[in-house]
Amino acid sequence: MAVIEFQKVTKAYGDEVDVLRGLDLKVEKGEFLTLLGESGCGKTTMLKIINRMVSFDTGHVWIRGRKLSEWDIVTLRREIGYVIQQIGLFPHMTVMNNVAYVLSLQGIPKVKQRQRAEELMELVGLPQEFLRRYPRELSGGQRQRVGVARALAASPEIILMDEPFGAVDEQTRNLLQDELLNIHQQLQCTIIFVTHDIQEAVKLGTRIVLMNQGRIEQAGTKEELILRPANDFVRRFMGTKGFMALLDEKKMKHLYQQILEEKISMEEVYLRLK
Amino acid sequence: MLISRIFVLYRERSSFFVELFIQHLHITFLAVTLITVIGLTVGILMTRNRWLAGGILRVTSFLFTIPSIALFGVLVSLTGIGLKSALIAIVLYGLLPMIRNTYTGLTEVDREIVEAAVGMGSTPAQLLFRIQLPLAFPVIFSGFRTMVVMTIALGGIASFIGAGGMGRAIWRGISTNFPEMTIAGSLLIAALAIFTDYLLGMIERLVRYRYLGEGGEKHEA
Repeated sequence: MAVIEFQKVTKAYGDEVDVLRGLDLKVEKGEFLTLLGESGCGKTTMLKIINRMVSFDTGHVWIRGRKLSEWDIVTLRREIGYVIQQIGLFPHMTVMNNVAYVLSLQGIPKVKQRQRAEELMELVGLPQEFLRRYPRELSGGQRQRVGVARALAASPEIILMDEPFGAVDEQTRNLLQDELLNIHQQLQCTIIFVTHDIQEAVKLGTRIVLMNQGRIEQAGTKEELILRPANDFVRRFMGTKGFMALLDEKKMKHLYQQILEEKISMEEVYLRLK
Repeated sequence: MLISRIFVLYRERSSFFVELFIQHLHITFLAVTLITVIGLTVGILMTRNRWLAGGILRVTSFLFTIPSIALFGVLVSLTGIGLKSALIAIVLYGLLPMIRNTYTGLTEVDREIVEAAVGMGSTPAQLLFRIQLPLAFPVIFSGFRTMVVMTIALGGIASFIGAGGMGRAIWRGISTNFPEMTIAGSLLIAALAIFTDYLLGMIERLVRYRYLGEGGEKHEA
């Protein structure tokens, strides 16, 4: 059974702009799905339909086998982790209270909240002392980590992320991506991740959904999209950037494995790449 | 010396002034409580309905432009002389800063913060009490401070329609051509207003520090 299922979903703002034009998609448990596309293609709208931050016009959506409209909206949102681009940490709360926000909404005892917050800090690689700090005392990358920890607090099966790493520098972003992959492996949750960055989509997604003007152009693994594009749009969109991203990752992984096994030295790797 | 005569007056008529001062505090306290409750409620309701918000802001701004003496005059013919009329007038004036700052404070909370809170499953009440009100608190509090000082000053005029308070000393001074009495009454009102403003100002700085970090960012109301 699919965790999330979209069937012929459409959405229009006003009379003119069709944001979504008949989406069909099934997301299986444990998938890391990246929604890729240019701004305005409908990827964020699609993401926000899942936790009912945005409504849709026609079609059907099921979450864990239940129609979206049958879910109690508050319960649904508490069971889905949500990270937005600007993070939206609560400036008047300590990191502890930010991370434990959903737990406090559910009335879970303070001691349990604290325990969970400590676990989560460990998971996202932040020191425990940070629990006492306020968001304004953290760097951009640290705030993103807190944002991720906050979304994970109630151990959600589904996590929605809307370009969460868009505002941090490249080095930090790479690190955060690696850690997110790690977390996904550890928790085996389902992640829907919106991005406009091809490299990011290729690196993170077990499956990529490429969207254009409210339609899905192709959904598949990175190899499928890059090596066997369904149409011209996909070919042009993924382009050399997609190819490089695929190549880089494959090659680097292979070489890195050899380095680890001490079959080859760093210098040899460098020479070979040259 | 005028000043020394005023102090003599304070000493000789101390029980009179103490009584008026307590009356003044009483009127101010009643008015501030009413304004705070009504202002907060209306300000919060306004955020639920933008159309309503525009209307209420216009009406309260209009009320604010009516000269207080004129408003007192109208109210005397409607609700008679006494504390009730005075309270109605003072409350109508004080509502503007309270409503406006509550409304502005709530609507100025960052959209992404509200989105995050809603998206994580806050109920409307949880959103209001855990996120919006605390974050709007500095702005609301500065409106509260303006309102309190204004209410103290307006209380001086309220005595003219028989509500008691320091205004009675002023009124008596004017009607019996006794300037020391007028000045003595005015000074006490001014002292109360300045002291309260100072006290609330200190609290406001603490609040800003608590919510907005060191220095705090300025909010124009």
